[in-house]
Amino acid sequence: MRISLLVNGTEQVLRVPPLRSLLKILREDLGLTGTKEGCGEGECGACAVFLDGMLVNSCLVPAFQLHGRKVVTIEGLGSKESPDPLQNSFLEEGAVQCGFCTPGLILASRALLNENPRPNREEIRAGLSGSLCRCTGYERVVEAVEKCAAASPEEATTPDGPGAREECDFRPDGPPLPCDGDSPRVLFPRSIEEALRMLADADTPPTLFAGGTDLMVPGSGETVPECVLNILDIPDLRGIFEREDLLEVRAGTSMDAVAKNAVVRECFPALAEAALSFGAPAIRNRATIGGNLAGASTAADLPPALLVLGALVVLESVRGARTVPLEEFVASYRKTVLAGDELLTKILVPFRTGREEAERYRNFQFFRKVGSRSALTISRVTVAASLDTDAEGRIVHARIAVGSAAPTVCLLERTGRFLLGRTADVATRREACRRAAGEVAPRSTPEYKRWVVEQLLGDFLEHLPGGPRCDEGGAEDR
Amino acid sequence: MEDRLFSPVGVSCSRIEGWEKVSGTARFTDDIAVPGAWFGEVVRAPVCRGRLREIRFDPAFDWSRVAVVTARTLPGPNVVHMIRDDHPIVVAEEIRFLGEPVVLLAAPDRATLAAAMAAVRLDVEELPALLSLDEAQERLALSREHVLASYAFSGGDTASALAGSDLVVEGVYRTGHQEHMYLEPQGMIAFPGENGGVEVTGSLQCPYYVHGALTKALALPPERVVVRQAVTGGAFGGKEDYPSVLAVQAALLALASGKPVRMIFDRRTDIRVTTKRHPSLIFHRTGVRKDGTLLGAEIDIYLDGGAYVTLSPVVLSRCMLHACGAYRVPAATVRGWALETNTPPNGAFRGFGAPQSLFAMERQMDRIAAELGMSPLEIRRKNALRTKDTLPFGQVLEEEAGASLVLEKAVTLSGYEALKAAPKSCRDERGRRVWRGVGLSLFLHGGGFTGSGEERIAGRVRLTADEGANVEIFVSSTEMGQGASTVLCQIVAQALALPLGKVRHVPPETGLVPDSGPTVASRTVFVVGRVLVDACRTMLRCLEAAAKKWFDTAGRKVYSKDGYFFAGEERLGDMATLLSRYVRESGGPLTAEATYTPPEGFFWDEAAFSGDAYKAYSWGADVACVDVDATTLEIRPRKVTTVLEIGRAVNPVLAAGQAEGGTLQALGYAYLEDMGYGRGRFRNDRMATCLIPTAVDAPEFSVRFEELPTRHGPFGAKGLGELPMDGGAPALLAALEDALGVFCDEIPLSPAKLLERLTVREKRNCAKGSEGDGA
Ligand SMILES: Cc1cc2nc3c(=O)[nH]c(=O)nc-3n(C[C@H](O)[C@H](O)[C@H](O)COP(=O)(O)OP(=O)(O)OC[C@H]3O[C@@H](n4cnc5c(N)ncnc54)[C@H](O)[C@@H]3O)c2cc1C
Ligand code: FES
Ligand code: FES
Repeated sequence: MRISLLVNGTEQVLRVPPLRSLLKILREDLGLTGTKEGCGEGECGACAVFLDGMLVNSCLVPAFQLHGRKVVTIEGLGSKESPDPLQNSFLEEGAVQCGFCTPGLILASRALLNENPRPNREEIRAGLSGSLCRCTGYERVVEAVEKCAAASPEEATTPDGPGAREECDFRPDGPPLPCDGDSPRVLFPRSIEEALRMLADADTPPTLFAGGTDLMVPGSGETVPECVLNILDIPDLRGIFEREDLLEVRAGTSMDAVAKNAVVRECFPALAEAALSFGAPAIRNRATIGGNLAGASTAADLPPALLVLGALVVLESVRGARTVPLEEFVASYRKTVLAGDELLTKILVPFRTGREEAERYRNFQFFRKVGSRSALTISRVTVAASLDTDAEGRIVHARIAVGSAAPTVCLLERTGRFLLGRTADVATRREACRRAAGEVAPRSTPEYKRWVVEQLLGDFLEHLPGGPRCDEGGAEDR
Repeated sequence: MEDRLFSPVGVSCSRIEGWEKVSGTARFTDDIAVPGAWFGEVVRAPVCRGRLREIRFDPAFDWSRVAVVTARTLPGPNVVHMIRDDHPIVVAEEIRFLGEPVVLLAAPDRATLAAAMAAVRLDVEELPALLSLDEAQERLALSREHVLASYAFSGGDTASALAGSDLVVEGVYRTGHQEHMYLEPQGMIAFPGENGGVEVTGSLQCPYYVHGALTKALALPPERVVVRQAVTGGAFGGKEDYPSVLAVQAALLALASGKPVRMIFDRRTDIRVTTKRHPSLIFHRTGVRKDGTLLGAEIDIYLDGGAYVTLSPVVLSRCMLHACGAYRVPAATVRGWALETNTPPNGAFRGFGAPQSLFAMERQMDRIAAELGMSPLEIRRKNALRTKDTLPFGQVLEEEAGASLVLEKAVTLSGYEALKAAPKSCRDERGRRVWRGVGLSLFLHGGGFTGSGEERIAGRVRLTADEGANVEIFVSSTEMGQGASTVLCQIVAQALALPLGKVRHVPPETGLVPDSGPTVASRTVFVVGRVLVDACRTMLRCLEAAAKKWFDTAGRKVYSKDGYFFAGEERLGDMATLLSRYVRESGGPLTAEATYTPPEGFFWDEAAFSGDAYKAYSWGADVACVDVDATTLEIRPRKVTTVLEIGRAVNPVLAAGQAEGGTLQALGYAYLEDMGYGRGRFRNDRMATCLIPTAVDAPEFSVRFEELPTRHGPFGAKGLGELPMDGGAPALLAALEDALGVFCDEIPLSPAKLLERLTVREKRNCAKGSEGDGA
């Protein structure tokens, strides 16, 4: 297809295969080799660039989503005459060794400072967690970012400079032009309605393509699909709306937007935590909530959180819309109940607190993903829970879900039922944990995963009223 | 002030090639555009061991569109030249590891290449394979056919020492594979040269290793082969031996196709087929007195060499020579075997065998301390090597030993004893319940090649100066992130008293630069830097001689000092001025060469495996603090204090980067970096699964350098690059022991394995408890 994009301020008109990655376009078609490939699957961050002011891993961005977009690479960040202050501080602090990670790390640092001009060390580390460096041990990198921020807070952010998040004012004439032999064909609906029509009209169901953080990973999809429906750029598929008794999250909303949403943070801390501990910044900027659910992976982070919050999903087609409880959405291992012509459009999360019930009940939420490392990690086991207690501390509502401990994310219904009407005293806690461990069926390292489920649930229940007192002699002290 | 010349040694100047790296203009191998280049690929063996019956080329594919190389079409011998020539370029008949190259292919574009790959069928008979180190070790009782190398040495009468001990402590230690995970995957571009020659440019550590492999495999005279290093994105030993394999493949395809051929690995291939750190299995028997004094040690070391020899004999010898750690062991017997298995060949990785044997020794020291009821610190204090002590292979530590110095500094700086006494159960800053612990390690690392390696290599260097007094360094030592370009320039600038900006490290290219040896073994500053200082002296002597002619020195002594030339008290001129004049008058650049000269008084007996193993030792001590999440057993290193004695820190900031980066690799090695090896393959063959630490996983570092200058290195400097890799793993496991009360003797350690250990301990305690009840 033919696309037109702005790269470091210069308009580029290219004829490219629709699924060609931005990384390949930059390196091989435009000769901008400052952007590096360290993994080709979103894990290393060496390929990071700004896309409309947002940090993304260019290896995960397909060509068909680039039309009319603004890209800034390391080559566009600073020049020897007027370097970005980060370039200087990286040099001075010894934050560069082999230099292969450096362009990505500097852009990730720039993205961080643009958003948070005075980060503390912990925030710096979290902000750079998607940029792997094998040489430095990160100490000097953290120092370089810290020094840069401290030395010139006004320069630390470059609001008009590269990487500024602004509306893209670059408007090429017309839509991307399809070319003969494009494989796959790409459809660009501009509204949900149009998308549904396209789905209805297709002979074979097209592949729905959102953030691409699953679909662009090599070896994840089957072969090249025949036809792709780009749903990332449908305006009405994005956004978070507060309704009467529920929060409506449109399926194309990014993890980053979910994590930062004030209502989510206030009312659904379990969901906020799930979105916040998700991947790394460049991944959160692209990954959508719909994609996370539709992938139906047991290791996905949001489903456990949403399950315990009693979320519902809205599936739409030209035949109409149906609202399905999330626990019925996933049919089996990596399979959902979505029909070929259906689109997941909304996720509805009912309010439990802050509304009328708040007077009578207290709500407690919990989310914890245990991965193999502290950031940018696949879940080894995830536990989420949401419980309401009444004035006497009795549990009146309990939902507990686990991920990565069975072929699909699942609700621990028996454990939940057991808790109803009880207070979280030592005996109840112990029994609930025992039941929870028995209710999961992990495949790999089952002893460990059962143990963690037991421990995490115990940890959460301990914090309920009527629960723990240190003097009760918990199981914790040696 | 203005007549003071810049003396950069000891100064933290920014790295010389820094701007290129922060601006994205540095050209790594895959960044080099080569119009018309073809793409190379390899058809690989589908089994761990087998017989290749036939290669079938689908007749439906038009083979004239691609270049094909098999064992039958090689222009020279079927070997990738390394220590022993046992490593075939492509399988002729016997397949020895999964992923071994069988057919090399090149095509003008990726689509054609993919089609060609799909049109090759391998007819293979699968054979039983040897797939684990344990199995290989057990098989030693039956056969020695799979021994790649074995050595032994003894100092003192170990048997009597053990017999006369108050206590003999036994331990078995295991370490796993480790992936280098340099951020830039392996890459090589080969160009067919004039008259049948070949040129390659790639990501590599050792241009002359690659050169040697190419001349052998292509049966070409040395002058028809040129090897250039591109900017290299990390190596850590992983680009010491493997680039020879890749360069030979690319060059063969370039010659077969007549086109430049690019071979750039994707990450998955890189993880699957390139070399790894040798897994180890190490047995310790140590005899001690009640007061903790070590009396004797018997150490048996088994390394998994993988399918071919590569560098295993040298890795094994370094591993063995570091086996007694930084301690005085009056009687020691060390035996070692590198064993062949049907897995990808293991090779060089920062530390080169020492991290394995030091891990075992450090854990053994903690075990001994526990059995004696001593503290880990006391037992180390008691046995730390001192100046004039004799190492078990007979070397006397003539220069000052730094063991106690680094140990005490690390203990003080970190507040080790207070940390050790602090409560183990607490809450971390996020309010989570954790087990908190602190651990200690003490270690040493011999700089430069083992034994008479440096004498054999006899590294050569050359310096040239032009009319503008610009000096160029010609060495085969490469910059791969460790800072070689910068520190070598600092050393030369200092020796010549020139401003740093006047000195340049020429990008290594065979033919153009003399062979200063490979960029390995922490030898670049310590050995090559020293030879460069010798070359600088030669240059200075030329100028002194010239000064005598130019000036009326009237019998006064002519000498250079602080960048000026003097005749007696009289200042004749500065370095730059005299250099310029010399070049102008002699009508060409001033060149000075130097070759490594072995220092006096060192002797190594290879056959007896005894004598002076290394010219200088660097010393280190780590104190690691760890939190273990009480509800998930997630391991989180919080802070590491590392004190390293390196003679002289030529560039303290770059040196700190080595210390931090190396220590983080060592921590990852201990608890995170699990390749999921089993049955001949790595289950974790993607960056998403073969994990390395992120910025959030990395602890806070506190680095301190101590300087006990050696006579044998430039301005007193010793080796540094590998030292930080030695201490992190044992310190972390000691910290875990402190936190949880379980002794772990195996890495990588995962939360699941920790749980197993805890469960075993609980069961044991329960059993003990019930016994007690019964009594
Ligand atoms: C480096 C990296 C880190 C990651 N970290 C995490 C992590 O921490 N936690 C985690 O859970 N996941 C993680 N992932 C996986 C991935 O990011 C998530 O699953 C993400 O939410 C997918 O969203 P997307 O928009 O990118 O999906 P896409 O790749 O666009 O699509 C994924 C699937 O969902 C379907 N789909 C998407 N939208 C819809 C819709 N509206 N209706 C119907 N079907 C739809 C697509 O057809 C496709 O099958 C990570 C991935 C990478 C590469
Ligand atoms: S190349 Fe590693 S994240 Fe894109
Ligand atoms: S500097 Fe080498 S990977 Fe970061």
